[in-house]
Amino acid sequence: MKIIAFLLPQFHRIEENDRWWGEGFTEWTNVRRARSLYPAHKQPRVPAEENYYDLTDPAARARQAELAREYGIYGFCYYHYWFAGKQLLEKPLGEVLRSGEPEFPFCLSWANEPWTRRWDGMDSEILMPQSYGEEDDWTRHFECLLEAFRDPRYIRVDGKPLLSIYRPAHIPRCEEMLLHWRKLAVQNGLGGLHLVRTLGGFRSGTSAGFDASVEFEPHYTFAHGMLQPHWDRVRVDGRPHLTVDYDRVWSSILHRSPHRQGERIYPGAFVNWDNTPRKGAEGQSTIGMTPAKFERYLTRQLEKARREYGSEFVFLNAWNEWAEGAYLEPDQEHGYRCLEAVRQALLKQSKASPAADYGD
Amino acid sequence: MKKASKLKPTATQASNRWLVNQMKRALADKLDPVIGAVADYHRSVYRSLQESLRLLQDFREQNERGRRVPKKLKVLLIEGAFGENESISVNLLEDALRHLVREVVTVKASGEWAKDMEDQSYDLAIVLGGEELPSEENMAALQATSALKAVWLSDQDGVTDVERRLAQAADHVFTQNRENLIVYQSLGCESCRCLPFAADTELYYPRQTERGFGSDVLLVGSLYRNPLLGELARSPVLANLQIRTLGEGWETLGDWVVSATEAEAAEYFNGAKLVVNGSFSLHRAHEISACGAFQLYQERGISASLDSDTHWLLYRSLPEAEELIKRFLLEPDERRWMASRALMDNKYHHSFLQQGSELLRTVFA
Repeated sequence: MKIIAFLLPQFHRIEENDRWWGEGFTEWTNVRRARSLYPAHKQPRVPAEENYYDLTDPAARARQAELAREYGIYGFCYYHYWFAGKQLLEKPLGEVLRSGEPEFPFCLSWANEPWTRRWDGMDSEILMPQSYGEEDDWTRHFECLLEAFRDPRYIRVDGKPLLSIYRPAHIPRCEEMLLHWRKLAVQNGLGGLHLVRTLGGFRSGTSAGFDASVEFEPHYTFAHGMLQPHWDRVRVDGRPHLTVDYDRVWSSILHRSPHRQGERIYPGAFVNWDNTPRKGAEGQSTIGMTPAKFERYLTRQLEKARREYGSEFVFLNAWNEWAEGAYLEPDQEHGYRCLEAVRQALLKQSKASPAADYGD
Repeated sequence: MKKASKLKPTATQASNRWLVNQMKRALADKLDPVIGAVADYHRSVYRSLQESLRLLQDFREQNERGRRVPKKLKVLLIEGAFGENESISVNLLEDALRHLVREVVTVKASGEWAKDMEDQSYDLAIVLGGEELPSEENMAALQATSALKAVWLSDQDGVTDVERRLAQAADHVFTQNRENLIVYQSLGCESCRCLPFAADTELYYPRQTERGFGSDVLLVGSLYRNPLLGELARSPVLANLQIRTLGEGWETLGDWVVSATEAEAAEYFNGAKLVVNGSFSLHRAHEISACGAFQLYQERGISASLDSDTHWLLYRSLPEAEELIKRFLLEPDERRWMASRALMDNKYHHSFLQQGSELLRTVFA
């Protein structure tokens, strides 16, 4: 079983973030200033050895890959940001491509949504609008991605580069765009593309043009799959703050039917959820997460992926979403236990099904 | 002393004797009914007392039975033959019962177990199936045993002579079909209830299938017994959709119908976006849910409302079915949510552990 972990590149300064959020802003800014909102709420999260890395530093990227490889993560899925010709946060991946380091598999997820002051991808307080242009822009976009697609480290399915799209329903001529890209892929010797749409908290739209769907957790479960009452409210500064039961979310994931619309589905997993560093009391946080539970649930999800989904991949949210509580990287509270949980889950799952081979 | 001589009665004495006799007769006429009534009363009180004592004894025995701790019970499971569409995994039931009782011994209905039944002190004998009658010797042993007897029949489509015979030999009858209850009651069965078999989760579980088993709508049921399914197959709502069918009689609709075989049922359930279950079989409905498939279930006749928590969408008419299909084919995540609820309910409320537990609770109530 191959675990692909989403990787957020927003751990270096860019001019736009300096302008919008203040000089020196990176994701660490939100992470550092988070505060505990209620007694059981653990914030701020602090990286182990206070390693507030910069992703433009090759040593930081190397360390990420080294850790991921050591604990069994198959590859990273970098978020890619393209706004009708304008890219943001593209430096880390650019340097990965140019340097050929680290030697570690990766793929891309186009995080196609407007950037807003509310960190919600909605249509108010927009900092960077998301638009899609026409065929010429689609071609320019493909050409920007081509270097990554040609990279030998790029993750492929049936020989075709895997590209995930976060909000396909946001794209007005999505199916046409995908067909356009497939033609360009063939013309450029790639053999095609393996296009994956994300099932998350937003409207899914049609599956037309896609080869598969990926469940983005816990958002997909929040929006579509909660099987038991799970939300609660805690008063914070006189306002209600939503908390969610960690175990109930996982229970819903693990009890879900694998059948949806007849499409191939890559199941998801999540480490934890707490976006209060970004949104304060208006965010949501889970109650009850422990690394031991994460290990137990991930083990079961890996087995479910094999037996019920017939999937070779599980997409994990995430490698380093520190400001959303979804990270595997070591911190001061849990140390390396979340990474160890991944290793143990993979080990148990492979013992339970030794003949499983996900090469096809 | 001089003996008193026996003298001839005088006229007065004779008259007096007559009067006394008349008085006696009159008194008897008056008193006998009263004395008789009192005697009758006493007799009836005595009978009532005896009856009460018997009732009290029965009550105590029932209480003792009810107080029988399931974990101390010894159960004989008699595995009969099943109809093609109603076979179950006896192993799963056996396993489940082993969680609930002390010992389970399983024999085949066609085997020789009369002596074993006599020798062993079973608390309960459960006959499963209904396609095959045990031998006369076995049946005699079954009837003679002091163990409680239950039959759990595979009687989805009517009641056969074998099933009638088995039902009459049993203390408790469990049927697949609510409509059969009236038949068993007419045979004198005092305890009969509907208890569908659980799904065999070694066959029916969620998984991916090959493309050939995929469908937009899978119609399940016998066209002979449920003409509504045929009307639905021809409905404009299903035009331009990939339709598959499972059951009897579909070939009569024409070559365009692609029918599944029973052996492939689980694959087709897993491959369907939406299953329309017009089989009237709760067992079948549980099999569909066990695959994680979204299901519409056709209710009929006296089967009133289903047990709660099945999470199947119910329909009774063609327009209802069409409306549900139109609506839910457009809502994949809502279908998925409901199918997931049904899958969960099937696991926790309708497994062999639950059904076995229900059976024991009924028998030992």
